[in-house]
Amino acid sequence: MATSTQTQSPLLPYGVGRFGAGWGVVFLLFLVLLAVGLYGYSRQLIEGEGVTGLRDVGTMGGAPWGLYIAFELWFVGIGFGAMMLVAAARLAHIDLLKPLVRTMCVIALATLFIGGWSIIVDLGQPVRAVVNIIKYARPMSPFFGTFTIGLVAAFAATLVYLFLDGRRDAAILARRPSRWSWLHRLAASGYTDTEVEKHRRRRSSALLAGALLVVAIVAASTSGFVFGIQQGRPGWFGALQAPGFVVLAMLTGTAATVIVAASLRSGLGEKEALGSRVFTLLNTVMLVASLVYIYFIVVEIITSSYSSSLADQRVTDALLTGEYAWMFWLSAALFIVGAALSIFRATASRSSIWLVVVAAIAIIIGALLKRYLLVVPPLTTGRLLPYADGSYSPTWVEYAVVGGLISLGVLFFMIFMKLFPILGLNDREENV
Amino acid sequence: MRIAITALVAVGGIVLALVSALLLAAPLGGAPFDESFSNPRLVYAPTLAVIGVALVFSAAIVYELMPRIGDD
Repeated sequence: MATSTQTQSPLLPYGVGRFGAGWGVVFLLFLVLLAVGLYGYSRQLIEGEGVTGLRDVGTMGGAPWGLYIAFELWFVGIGFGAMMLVAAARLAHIDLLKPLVRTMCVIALATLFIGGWSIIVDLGQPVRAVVNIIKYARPMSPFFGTFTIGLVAAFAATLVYLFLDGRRDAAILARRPSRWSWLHRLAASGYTDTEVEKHRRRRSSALLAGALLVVAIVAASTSGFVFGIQQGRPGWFGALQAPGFVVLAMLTGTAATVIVAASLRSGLGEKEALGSRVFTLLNTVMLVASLVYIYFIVVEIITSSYSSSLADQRVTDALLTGEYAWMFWLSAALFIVGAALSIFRATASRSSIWLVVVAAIAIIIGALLKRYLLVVPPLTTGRLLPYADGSYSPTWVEYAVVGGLISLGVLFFMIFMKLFPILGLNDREENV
Repeated sequence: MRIAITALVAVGGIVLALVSALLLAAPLGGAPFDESFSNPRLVYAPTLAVIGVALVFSAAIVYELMPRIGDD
């Protein structure tokens, strides 16, 4: 028979350890989407990339990179942006973002993980490719840079930051009786909150945050170099790619944080830690980054349409007035709407959180379209040799696999938030 | 002692990453038609570079989790 102490023991915060019906339904939904994705990928592995819309350039008249790589850039961009925010929160002592640091770390880990998988699923012979990379990769290749700096370094740095930053909260939870206390004890790994430990924490978190910032910027730039240094591909070659990737990463990382934070505020009822001021701060970051990125788009279009080569002009025409015009203008409109909403929110007398969320959704969809436009049109229309224009349409297999990858990230997030508090503990929770 | 061991792990990681990438993997630059410029001088050198990078960040774990030694 349970003692009164056991039955009245306080619940773990933020729904940790409690698997409700609503959570179960959402989890099951994403599990089904993951299963559909796995089925799609199994078709691709068995029948080859012929089941996708991917074809070689030139004589095959297609695009070897499509939806997978567009999503890969989008995923890792969100991850690098979340890392930058984590670093900024620590280095600039932004207390408002403190409760969200763990959330941003988990967003970064989930998106970097599925970003890495997006590259794997794009490959016709994934096992052979991975084996060749770990055995023979050339350090001067931007692809090697993307895999090592971009993914391994970013993933390792964020994982270490998440672990060390969460030890204190894990130690607090480990003291409460629950069936997960063994896990919290393990995560706390002996943390006792002494002055010496706090001093070490401050020191190492500052250094790690600096490293996170550097790694995120270098990694985002390296992704940009994959495109920017390819002189033979009209539409890609340009000095703006690397800084553009960094700014868009910051923008999408912030937008994703806004969306997740609003969901947590609503789902967990956490209006204190995720108050209006947090969203005002994130809105300001989005506003600045979106204005800078819109400026980059304008500069890019003016440069490529004013006096560029014939090949570059063809890609620009396809974007502005051709096959991809609807997507380009939709993407531009979404960025402008996002920026306009952010400006309105920044100047309005009443502070609506949902205005920031709508701006974030507009920006994150606009960014996804922009990634697609970066990858596909230069491959189908940006040619230096006298081939006809190519075409690319994703098949159900690609949509299913991408849906599966998104589900994988969401499931990772959902499992994490049931094992550890997704938000940093506040004073009230600490003193329970 | 704690700082010395942490520094050792971090510097070890940097050295491993740099040596693997610059001296053990395929040479930087070089003649495009010469096979020796395509092959790594040590197979798995890229993996060693990746391990080196990961080691640098794990130095923070060493710093915070290492048990107290002497008057540390």
